[in-house]
Amino acid sequence: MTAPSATGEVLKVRGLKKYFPLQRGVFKRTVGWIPAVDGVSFTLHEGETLGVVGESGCGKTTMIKSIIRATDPTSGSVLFKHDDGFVDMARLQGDELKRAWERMRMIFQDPNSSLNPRMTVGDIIAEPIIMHGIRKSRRMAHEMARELMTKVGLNALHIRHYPHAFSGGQRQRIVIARALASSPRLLLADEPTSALDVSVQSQILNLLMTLQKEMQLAFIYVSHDLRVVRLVSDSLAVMYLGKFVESGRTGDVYEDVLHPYTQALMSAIPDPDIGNPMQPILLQGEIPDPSARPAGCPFHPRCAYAVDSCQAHEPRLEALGAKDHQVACTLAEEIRVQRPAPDKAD
Amino acid sequence: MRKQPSRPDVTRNLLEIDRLKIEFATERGIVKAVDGISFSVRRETTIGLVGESGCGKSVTAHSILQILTPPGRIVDGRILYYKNDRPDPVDLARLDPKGREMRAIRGSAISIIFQEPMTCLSPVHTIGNQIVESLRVHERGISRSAARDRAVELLRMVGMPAPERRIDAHSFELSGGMRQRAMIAVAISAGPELLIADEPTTAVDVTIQAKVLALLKQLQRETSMSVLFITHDLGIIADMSDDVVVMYLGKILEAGTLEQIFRAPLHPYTRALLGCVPRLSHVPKELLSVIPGAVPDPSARPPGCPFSSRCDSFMAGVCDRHMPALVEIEADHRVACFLHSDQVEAPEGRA
Repeated sequence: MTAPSATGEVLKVRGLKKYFPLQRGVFKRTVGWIPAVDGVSFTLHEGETLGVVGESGCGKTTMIKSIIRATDPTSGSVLFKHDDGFVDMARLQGDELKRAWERMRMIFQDPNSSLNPRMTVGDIIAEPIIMHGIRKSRRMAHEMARELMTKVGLNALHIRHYPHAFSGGQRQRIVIARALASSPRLLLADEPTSALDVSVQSQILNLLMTLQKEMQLAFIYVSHDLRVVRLVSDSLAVMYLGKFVESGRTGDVYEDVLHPYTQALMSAIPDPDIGNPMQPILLQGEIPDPSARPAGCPFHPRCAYAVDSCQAHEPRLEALGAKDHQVACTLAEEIRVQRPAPDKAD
Repeated sequence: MRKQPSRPDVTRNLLEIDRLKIEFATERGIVKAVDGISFSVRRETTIGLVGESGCGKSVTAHSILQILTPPGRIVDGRILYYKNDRPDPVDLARLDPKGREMRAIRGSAISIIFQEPMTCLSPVHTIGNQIVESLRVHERGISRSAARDRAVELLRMVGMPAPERRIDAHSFELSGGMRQRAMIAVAISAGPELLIADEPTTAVDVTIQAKVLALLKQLQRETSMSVLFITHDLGIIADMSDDVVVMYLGKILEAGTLEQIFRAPLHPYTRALLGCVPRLSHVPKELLSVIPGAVPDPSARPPGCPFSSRCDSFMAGVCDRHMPALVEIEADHRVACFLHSDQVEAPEGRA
């Protein structure tokens, strides 16, 4: 594995949109469009993790599916570093797309549904090795599968076992081993530990962080768990109704929360440090249906700070605070001045 | 902070679980899902039951209401319920699950909320009718219109928006958070003394979770009910509980007050569990401490202490031979570990 310079850009997403048609009637006439992902832009560097948080229905899963082309994006570009230049994942076809997929892999939440119960672990891990022509023979592919199993902390002697013989955490390790088979640059992880026990979750998080360091892997880590995201990510994006409403370096976002929505999310994290009781900001209502998107700022119906002008204009992401810290709220600066200085966790 | 019972004359405990055993007879043999556990639920407090998959926390909760799914059944032990401050308790474990006495308690004096609201809300009845039904079953002689007024009041109490309108809605017409509220309204409609919350927020978003937890705290303050809270999330336990019980593979390994368990945990499992959850005070990108391996299948429990196969203080020849007794180390703080006591759990049931 070659390890290029750590500062190199690996993914540049620009204006990514994914609209789903709203169909009605017997003939499935398209009567409108649901903006699941509505203009997302960010840049990801090698060896870094972008954490994406938001409530269910905010479009975080659709976003990573559009990036890897599990679904075709409606518009926008997904520039991914491949060989020496950048390719646009949104436009690639056929073999070129297949080749790009060697370097961009996905890990799902439920390891049970992403492993074929009728294949042995060896065959599961060897499949992409053979498919992408990384090793010529089946025997050599299995040899490599053994190495990968050891790398992710599995016993290579179990190569002939079937998935059911493994625990949930071990199955997730199998999924990770298979994802690593084609020497990826970027892993897209969709809630990879939320189906696991607490004691197993920490093993998988440690494995992902260790692999990242060793292989200069970039990650997009989607989760609803803000404690996990804070631990694993270098930068953070908070998503609401298909858009980033706040983004920045993880430390900056956690210490200088700018968007009222992020404030509400952060205040609702149950932390196992007692003596630091949760004082949640309780939001009114729930995340609206993306097809009934409120006018103006999409968060205004639930926002405690909202004023009349919030209904009129949709705020854009603008820089505020530390470098790279951006927020989409017209009142952010005002709120920030009123707010007492953020007290750091002790 | 621990709450003291407001009236000194009432019994301190609402519920006492005494050497409870629950087994599942499966094709592959008998699985001891809960193996001789004892703990008490104090009045007007919240007790958190925490553990990983297969530890028996949900099964314990279901056994209190006699709603175990077959082939699960209570094989031994007592569940003493001090109903209405009476000094002579009812043993719920002895009651017929379908009998009149159990039905009078279930959903009225003791009720339960689940992870998935649709498992306990009927899809064919309106929310209002379900609450009215519950009110009329448990409170004889209440008129239909009075019950309906109470139902609106209950929905308002749980924070349902526009309760006068939502009372005529069906459960499928409500959003996830509203369903959760409707379920809680049904559960508290008869004014329970004990509310069992079985992972009620595992399937909802953090903002909704915060609201459900705040609602449960508020209801507890207003109605002085006790809450048995079951979760795998130590953050929620820290936020909600007065007392904590830590379970692992059907055994209680440690129990005590929130302060004792979180500030001075004694059992290696409790310590390891608290060490491996990410918290806001962690340094980003720093590796977490881990517990090696995975929770064994309940049907293949290791001999001796169930945690011995993963424990960092494992003593060969001791921990894999005998189950340590759950011993009170200081007031309210009990731990089952040979690091703290030599006492072996009494071998019972053997001829």
